[in-house]
Amino acid sequence: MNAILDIKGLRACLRGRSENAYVIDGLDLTVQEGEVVALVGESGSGKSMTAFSILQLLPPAIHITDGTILLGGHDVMKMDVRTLRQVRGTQASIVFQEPMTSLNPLMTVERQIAEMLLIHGKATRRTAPGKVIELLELVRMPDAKRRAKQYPHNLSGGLRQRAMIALALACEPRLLIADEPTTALDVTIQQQILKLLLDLRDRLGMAILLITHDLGVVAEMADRVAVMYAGRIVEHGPVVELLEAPRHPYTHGLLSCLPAEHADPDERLTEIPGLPPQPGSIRQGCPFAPRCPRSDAICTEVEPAMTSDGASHYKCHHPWTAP
Amino acid sequence: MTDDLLVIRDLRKTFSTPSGALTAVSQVSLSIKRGETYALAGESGCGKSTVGKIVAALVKPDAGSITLDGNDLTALSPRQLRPLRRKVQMIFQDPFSSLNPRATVRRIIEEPLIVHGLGNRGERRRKVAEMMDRVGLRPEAADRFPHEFSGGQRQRIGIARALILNPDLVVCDEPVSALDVSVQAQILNLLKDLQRELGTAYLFISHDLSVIRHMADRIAVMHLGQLVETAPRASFWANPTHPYSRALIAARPDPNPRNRLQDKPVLEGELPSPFEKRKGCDFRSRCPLAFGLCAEVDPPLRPSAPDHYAACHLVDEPDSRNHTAAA
Repeated sequence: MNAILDIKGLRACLRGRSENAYVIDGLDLTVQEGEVVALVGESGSGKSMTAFSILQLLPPAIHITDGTILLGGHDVMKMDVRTLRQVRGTQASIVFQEPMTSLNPLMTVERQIAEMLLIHGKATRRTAPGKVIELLELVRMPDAKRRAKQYPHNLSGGLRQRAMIALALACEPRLLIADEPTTALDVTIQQQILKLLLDLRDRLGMAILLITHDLGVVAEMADRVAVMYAGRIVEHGPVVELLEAPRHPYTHGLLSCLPAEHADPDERLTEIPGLPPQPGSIRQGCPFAPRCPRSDAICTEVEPAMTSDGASHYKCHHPWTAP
Repeated sequence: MTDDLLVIRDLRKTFSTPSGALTAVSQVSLSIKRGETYALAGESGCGKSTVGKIVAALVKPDAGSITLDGNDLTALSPRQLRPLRRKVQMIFQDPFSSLNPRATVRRIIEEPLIVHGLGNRGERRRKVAEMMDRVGLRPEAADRFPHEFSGGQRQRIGIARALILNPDLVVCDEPVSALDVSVQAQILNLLKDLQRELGTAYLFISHDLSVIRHMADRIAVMHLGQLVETAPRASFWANPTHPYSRALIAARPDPNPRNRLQDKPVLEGELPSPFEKRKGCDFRSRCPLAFGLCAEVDPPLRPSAPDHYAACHLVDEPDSRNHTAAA
C-alpha cells in the first residue's frame, strides 16, 4: 500500500513558554491512499495543530522541532514557499470547521473557486466559470448556477460547507483534511455533508483525514482511528476493533462517558475525573496517568511505548484486555 | 393537574428583523411538573431557545400565557414579576460569555442574593461556600476570576449561580454543548444529583438527542417554531411518531462501528425560509412521507398514544409506522 501521508516523530512547541511546552509530542501517523482516517481527541489534544502542520499552516507561535511529514513521499518541512504553494490544494487541502470565517466574505462563491483554479493553472479565465459549476454540482449544491453568483452570507451553514468542500476539491487533492467539518452544523445537515465526503472519496479516490471529537462520526465514517491525548497518539487501529474493544483506558473512558442507548436513565454516566493536561505540564510518565483508573507507580514514571498484540496499537502499561 | 409547576398556553413570538418578520415561536403549549426534566429538542433556529428565554422572563411573548404556580407571568408588571423571577433561573450554553470576566466567582454566585435582597454579607458568604461545595468547586477558589477556570468548571459556576436562589425551575439552554465529552458526563451527573437533592425542575434545551435520552422525563420536539411531538420518555423512545423526530433520531451519529453512514437514509431537501408565509406542514419539503394534504393543511397536534401527541396527518393511520421503517 502507498501512504499519501506519513508523519514520524513529530514534535511541535509553543514558542515563548518553557522549553517543554509541546503541543504535539512524538506523533506518528500514516494515511494510505483512499483511506478515511479519523483523528479523535478533546479540545487541546493537538489534533488541529497536527492538521495545520501537514500544510505548514501552524500559527507563528508554534514551531516544529523534530520529525518528518511526508506528503506524497516528499517532506513538507524541506519545501520552499513556492513548492509548498503548489502542494497545498493539489496534494492536500483543508476543510475547516467554520465555513463562515474561512471563506472570503467579499467574494462570490464563483470567484473564490475560480481563483483557486487560475492560480494552480487548472483553468483559464474562459473555462473557469464552467469548471466552477461542475465543482458545485459535484458537491451537490442545489441550484448551482444561482448559488455561484452569491456571497457566503447568502448561504446556509450546510451550503457554505458544500462551497468550502468544492473549493478544497478544485485541484483534485489526493488527501482531504477535514477539521471538524460538521461540528457547527445541525445533525440532519451533518449527515448530508458526511455522506457527501464518503461519496467523493469513492468517486475521486482521495484519502480523508477526519479530525473530530465525535465518536459517533468516527464510527460512521472511518476506516482507521487514531486517538490523541496531550499531543500524542495513545491508541490507533481499525475502527471496529478500536471502538468495540478499546485497549487504552482513555479510549475506554471516552466511550463509556457517552450516554448509552438502552441504559437506565437513573444510572450515572461514567466520568473521566479531572482535566486534560496543559501543554508542557507532563514531564514524565504517561500523560493520562493522573486521570486513569488503572494507573500505578510505573505509569507516573515511565511513558509507555507503542505496542500491539492484536489489531490495535496502544501506549499503555495496563491496557484493557483484548476480547 | 395539581402538580403542574409551569403551564404555557399558545405562546407566540415574532421578531422584526431587517429581512422581515420572523415568527420564532408559534402556538407552543406545554406544561412542566415539579421536579421533572422537560426537554425541548430541535435544530438551530427552531425557536427552542426563545421558548427558554420567554420562560425565564427575559423575552416578552406577543401572545399566550405562562402560568407559574398559578400566577400568570405575562399579566404582571415588572415590579410584580420580580419576586417570581427567583423561582425561575437559567443556565447558558457558553460558559465563556455568560460569566462577568471582571467579577470574582464569589461575586458572580452571590449576585442573585444581592439583587433579591437576601441575607447579610456573612450569610451570603456562607451560602456561596456551601453552593460551591455542592457543585464540586473548592470554596477556596471564590476569590478567583472566571478566566482561571476550565469550561467545565465555569459551567459549574453558572449552575451554582442559578441554584443559589433555590428556584423551582431552571432553564438549561444547551448546558453541555460547549464541553468535551469527558467533562459533559461530569456536568450531566451533577445536574441529576442536584435535581434529586433539591427537587428542581429543568426545562432542558438541547439539540443532542443522546443527552436528552439520558436526562429527560418528557420530550418535546420543535421544528420551525412549532411543537411537532410531545411525549413521556418511554413512549417517545418506543414510538417516535413524527417523521421529523424519527429523522433526528436516525441522523444522530451512533458510536457503533457496525452502523455505517453508507447504509443510513439521509434527509434530503431544504428547509423552508422562516420569513416566508407558509401553507401546510413545514416539514413537508424534507419529509419522505409527504402527500397532497401536507401542502394544504398544517396538521395540529393529535394524540397517538396516552399523553403522546404528534402534529402529522399520518398519525392515525395504523400502517404509517411500517411505511416509515421501509422509507
